[in-house]
Amino acid sequence: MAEVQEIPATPTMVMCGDAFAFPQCTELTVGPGLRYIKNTVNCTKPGVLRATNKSVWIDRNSKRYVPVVEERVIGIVAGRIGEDCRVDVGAAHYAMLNGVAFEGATQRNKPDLKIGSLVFAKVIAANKDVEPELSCVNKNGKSNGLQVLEGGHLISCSLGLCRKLRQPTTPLTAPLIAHFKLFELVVGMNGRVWIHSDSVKHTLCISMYLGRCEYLPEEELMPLLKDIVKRVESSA
Amino acid sequence: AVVSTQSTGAVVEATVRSATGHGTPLDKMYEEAVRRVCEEVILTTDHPRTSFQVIVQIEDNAGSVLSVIMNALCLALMDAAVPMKGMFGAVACVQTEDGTLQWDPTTDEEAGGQCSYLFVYSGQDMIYSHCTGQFSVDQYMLVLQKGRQVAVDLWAFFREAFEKLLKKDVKFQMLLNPKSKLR
Repeated sequence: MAEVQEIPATPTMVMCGDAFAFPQCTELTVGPGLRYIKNTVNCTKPGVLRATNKSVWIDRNSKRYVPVVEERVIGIVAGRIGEDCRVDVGAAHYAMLNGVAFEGATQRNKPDLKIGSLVFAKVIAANKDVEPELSCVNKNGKSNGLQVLEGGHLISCSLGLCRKLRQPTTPLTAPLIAHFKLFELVVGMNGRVWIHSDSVKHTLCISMYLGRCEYLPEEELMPLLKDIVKRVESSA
Repeated sequence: AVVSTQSTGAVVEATVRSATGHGTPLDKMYEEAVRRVCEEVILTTDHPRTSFQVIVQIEDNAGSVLSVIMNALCLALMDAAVPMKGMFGAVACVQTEDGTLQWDPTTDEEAGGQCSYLFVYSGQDMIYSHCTGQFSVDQYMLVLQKGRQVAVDLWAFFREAFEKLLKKDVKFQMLLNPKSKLR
């Protein structure tokens, strides 16, 4: 595309290489999928170009996670190096999690992180040249839900599904809430969802549902869940 | 496999396998072509100390294999959300003895041609070429110019294909629908 247009006000589909004008006086933050070069912003991924009055970015579903600071992810402990743990977050490199970065933990009293344990942590450093770092506490020492996840079942899904699930008003979880009395979902931004419920059958139903609900319109979600529950109950 | 030699960014490894038989030197040539195009187009500096592994499996060869590989490669990279400088597209052409140009030649047309051209375009540039046979500079420039138009049509097709893929998702259907409230 040779012409350089203004950033469109409504969401538009763009391809790699499409360029939009981005004068230096603009106060928009350039988000994922875009590159700033000489007063223009170039698309590096195909997707939908979206803009608010604060930022502009490319909305796109993908499966490969790239760590970003402040994102909450579910990691699998892969090893220990002294006090730190190497955690697999699904990115190109392992992330480092300090063994004491948990609420109320001290050198003598810290969680026992075995290889294979699941941790819900926040990315605190994510430079492309260095391994990313995780933590389960914020600056005030509070965990706010970040912790080691005991039991349960971990599934992989696309990054887009995780973003949808993390929205407070998502229709995707409404059928689950209506149908199951006791369950817990922890959604990591790295394409992983941890499911914990009161029975194995329920966990199975929820994981099958999450695997298939992503592209369905709202009215088909409850029938999907009912179909899955019927099949799981009848196959026992 | 063929591995790149740059050190400031991701490494691109390319593997090309034919439908049948062992690897031939032709597969090695395709691997080198794929690697060079990927290195040119992928933003490798965004992902240092990593590698992009590109694996091409040729299932069926009906002619113009390298151009098919390149176009499929572009679609695959787009589908995988790999950060790229721009789209790229390959155009293959065979010139017969009387000077007529046959675009996207079949295996028979390739065998019967006097010379063949393959150009990979990205944006305004031509980033990779592979030409065989005897031709003049004028003929070369003519094919290069006409090929760019074919590439532009190819990119319009990629756009349509990608839009279909995006619209499988309800969220993007609503975002791109001019009447929806999300906009």
